[in-house]
Amino acid sequence: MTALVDIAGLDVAFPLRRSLFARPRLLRAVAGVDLAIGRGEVVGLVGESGSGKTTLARAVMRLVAPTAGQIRFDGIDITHRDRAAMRALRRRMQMIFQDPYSSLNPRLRVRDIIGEAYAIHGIGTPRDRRERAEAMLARVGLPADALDRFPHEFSGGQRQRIGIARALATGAEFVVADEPVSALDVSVQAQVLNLLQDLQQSLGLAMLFIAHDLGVVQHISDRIVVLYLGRVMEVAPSDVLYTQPRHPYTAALLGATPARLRGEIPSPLSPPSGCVFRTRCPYAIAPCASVVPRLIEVTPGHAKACIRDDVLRG
Amino acid sequence: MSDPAALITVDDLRTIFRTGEEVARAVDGVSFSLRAGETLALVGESGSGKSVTALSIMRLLPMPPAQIVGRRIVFADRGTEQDLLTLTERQMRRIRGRRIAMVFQEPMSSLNPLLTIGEQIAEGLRLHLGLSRAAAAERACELLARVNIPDPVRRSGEYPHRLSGGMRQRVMIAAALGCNPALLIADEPTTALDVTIQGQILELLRSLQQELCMAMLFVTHDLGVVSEVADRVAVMYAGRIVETGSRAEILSAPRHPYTKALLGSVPRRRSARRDPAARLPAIPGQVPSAAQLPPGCTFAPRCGLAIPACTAARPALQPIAGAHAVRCIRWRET
Repeated sequence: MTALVDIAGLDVAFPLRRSLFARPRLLRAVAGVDLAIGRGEVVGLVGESGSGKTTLARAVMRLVAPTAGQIRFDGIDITHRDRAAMRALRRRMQMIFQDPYSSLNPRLRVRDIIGEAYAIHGIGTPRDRRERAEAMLARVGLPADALDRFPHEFSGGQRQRIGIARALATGAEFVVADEPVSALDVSVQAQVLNLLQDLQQSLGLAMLFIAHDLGVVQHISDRIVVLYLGRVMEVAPSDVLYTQPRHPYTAALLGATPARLRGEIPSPLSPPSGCVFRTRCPYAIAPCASVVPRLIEVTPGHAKACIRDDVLRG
Repeated sequence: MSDPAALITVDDLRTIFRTGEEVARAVDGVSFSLRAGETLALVGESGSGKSVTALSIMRLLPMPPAQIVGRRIVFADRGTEQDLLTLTERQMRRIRGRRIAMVFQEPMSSLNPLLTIGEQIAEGLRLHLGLSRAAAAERACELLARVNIPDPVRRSGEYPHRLSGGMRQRVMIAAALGCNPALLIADEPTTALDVTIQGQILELLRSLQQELCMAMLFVTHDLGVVSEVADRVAVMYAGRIVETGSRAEILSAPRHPYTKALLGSVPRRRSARRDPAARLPAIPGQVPSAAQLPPGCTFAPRCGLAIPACTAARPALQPIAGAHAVRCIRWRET
């Protein structure tokens, strides 16, 4: 099976210039990430703020340009595609954002928010676009009369439903959901998660699901990728990762180690040598400072980037 | 149910907001008490009135539009009892920041970007304790050390933007604890932080609370955080406390349909194999607007157990056992 989304050796770096004459320093937000997402597969992405989750997601969507590596979507190399060439592909890959308050245009009625997607991609006639929009709203659990209202007339949960309807209106096969339920109240969060799950399964969507809430990620994901300072620390099927974490960072995130994680994530401008996690790792030994750990498979489908094979053996 | 040993007793608190013709009953008859050294978690979703309750105690709400119409907040500190709602602003200022301190969710917007962190902590110490400039600066460094900020002397000369979110929250805690308050109100202090940092801050708050024998009112929406800090829990919904009890009673044996549903709708990390067909038990509908509270039980429109009697009269808080009480006429059947 070929993957729908295939990322190889992806690097995203931002030049930071302190003054006009200084040489820019490179902030490596994503460093050498390999990741394949199959059709209909949900991959969860976890890590602290500053771990590069959002940058990775935006690079996959080609909203930021990669500095190295390759991104393929359905076999097509999109690493260096320009905006115009990307546009044709956008109907097949969409994004759901965290904040339903700022990601919908407050001046547009829901009809136009969803209709815009059809118009841009030349789907249907102006006449049947209304019907399509109505059907889409029904799909996300909103009444047809919502079409003529403005975003401010809806609650946070309903707005997120509108965001989902817009993302799926053009028949996307792949969706990046960046913290889609983090801004919602617990009781509403469950409604929206259930909806996403229903749609994902009935439409066979592939999804890259980003969240800081580990319970939410486990609930929806088939596979989970743990990111730290832009590098993949561990990848495993969802239930395996939670029951048998093999990387010390994953174990710490899950609260599986008795000691709390010390300190904070270092600046990506000066990442530690060797293993980037070693400065906070309870198991760090001298070689961790010199050896950059490679992502090595421990069991089929479960890989970790840590040289300590003698700890966290489950 | 007034507790003679209580440090603070909130008695039938009612806070409304008037905008034009509309009256929003944000806090609609909230009562609880808190002893020294005890932590009460006030849990609820947005719009439940938990933050307005906290701000009412601090008397920090803009009036108008806010108005506190009932009834008493008795603060029994150092042998004298005072009703915070009858104090003048001048009297209140001697309590606020000194005997009752507060930590907010967003440390960046609570810190002055133009002052070094040492200066901001020292400011409160000079104002409330009358310390000299030098003594306040020294005490500020001690406080920074106590909240585990590495290299406190150097750090005290830095500006807030240089610090991470977790470090800023430590600074806020240091500033709040500068005068050894009897009560600390923490309003979602870890919500903006990463899980790993969240754990560190909760641990810090807990150890400081024990050391200073402080009472803590911990306002949060996060049930996971509740399990880490609370001795007792009060669950709020649409301006009222719907259930209250010990941490174990609320988290392991909840009786109110709302508490049960809220706990059920949190995706939990499971050790069992993931079932792709599993759906979360969601609560239908949404929290009612404080300007249009439904009659009777405010949760009835979303409750699976609701019967006509639920909307007929406002249910009273009924005792179950010990301190566990629930505002539901059908709690025996839940």
